[in-house]
Amino acid sequence: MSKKFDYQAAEDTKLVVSAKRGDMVAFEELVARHRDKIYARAFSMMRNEDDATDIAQEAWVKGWQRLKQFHGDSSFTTWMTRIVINLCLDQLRKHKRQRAESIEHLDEELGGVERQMPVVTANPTAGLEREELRKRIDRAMSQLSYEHRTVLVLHEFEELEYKEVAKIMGCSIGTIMSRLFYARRKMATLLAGLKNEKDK
Amino acid sequence: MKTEMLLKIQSWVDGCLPAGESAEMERFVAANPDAQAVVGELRMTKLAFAGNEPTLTMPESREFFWSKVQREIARQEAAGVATESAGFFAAGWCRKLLVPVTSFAGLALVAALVVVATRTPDGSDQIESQLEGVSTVTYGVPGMKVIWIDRNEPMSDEPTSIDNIETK
Repeated sequence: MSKKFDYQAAEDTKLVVSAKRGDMVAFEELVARHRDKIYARAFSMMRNEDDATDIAQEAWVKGWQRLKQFHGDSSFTTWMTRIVINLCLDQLRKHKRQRAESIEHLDEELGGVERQMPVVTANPTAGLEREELRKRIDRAMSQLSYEHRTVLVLHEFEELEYKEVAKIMGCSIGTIMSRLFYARRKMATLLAGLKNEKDK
Repeated sequence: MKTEMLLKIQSWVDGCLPAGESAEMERFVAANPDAQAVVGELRMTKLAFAGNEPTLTMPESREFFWSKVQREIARQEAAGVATESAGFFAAGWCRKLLVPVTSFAGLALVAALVVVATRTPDGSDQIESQLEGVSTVTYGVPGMKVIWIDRNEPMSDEPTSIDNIETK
């Protein structure tokens, strides 16, 4: 008598093997396990609940369609995260093409504004509870341009190297280093601003 | 401070500089208060990010979200099958069979129109040219190539001439 497959107890790798054979229940379990993480990544880049939900859904559909291409070189969640990041970048590029390139935007790309900011010397995150710090990071991130936000997400949260970020974003390593530098500068200033706001 | 130096400081903070340059940068930062301020700010933001990614929960329930994913998979699969069927002759046949066959046929036709190669009974190569009004026959035997040109003139009593004899 064959043993019944316990989907909830099975590891991701086993569920992936089963899903590759066409087992939709196994795939459903994978979606249930990782949907928050995929959604969170989409939201961190898009900053919009509806866009993030739609892109997360599209990512899971693509995940199912391309499952045979997943060979387990990375974890399943890392693989799915790459899919959602690429979809977000496609969407953001479309938005970018639609909006006119303003002088302010170009200035921001080159770090024109950030270059003038004074260096933040007092740590604005010192003594904060983790939850409060996360909220402030989230608020500050929402005020960055998509180029700065994306580079921070990929380098700081996904822990990718400069060259990997450059490959994903289709830019030179120099551009990525520059964007990362000015994104960090801006984050420091925004976090300091949030601290001052709270202290008043 | 120049942008190039600022980016180099960042690479150092991120641990991306080679060992030799890293030691050099360490000395530079130790002796430069402006560089120390930049390093402090970069380290502070790096530290703030570490392990502090905001956590989010999907606003839709598991069942509702899965039903949407499942429906979209089914819809795209159905659309994919339809497209595949419609494009079978247009894409599949052309790419897989017709293109190589027509290419081969074209090449064969060109080759046949230019030169027809035959082999004489004695084993030497004989090539006939298909030029209008003139018949040439080329014989290739080891060490020698003989080209026979026949202008299709009326037969005379003179013996047939050899217009050109070329030896290799």
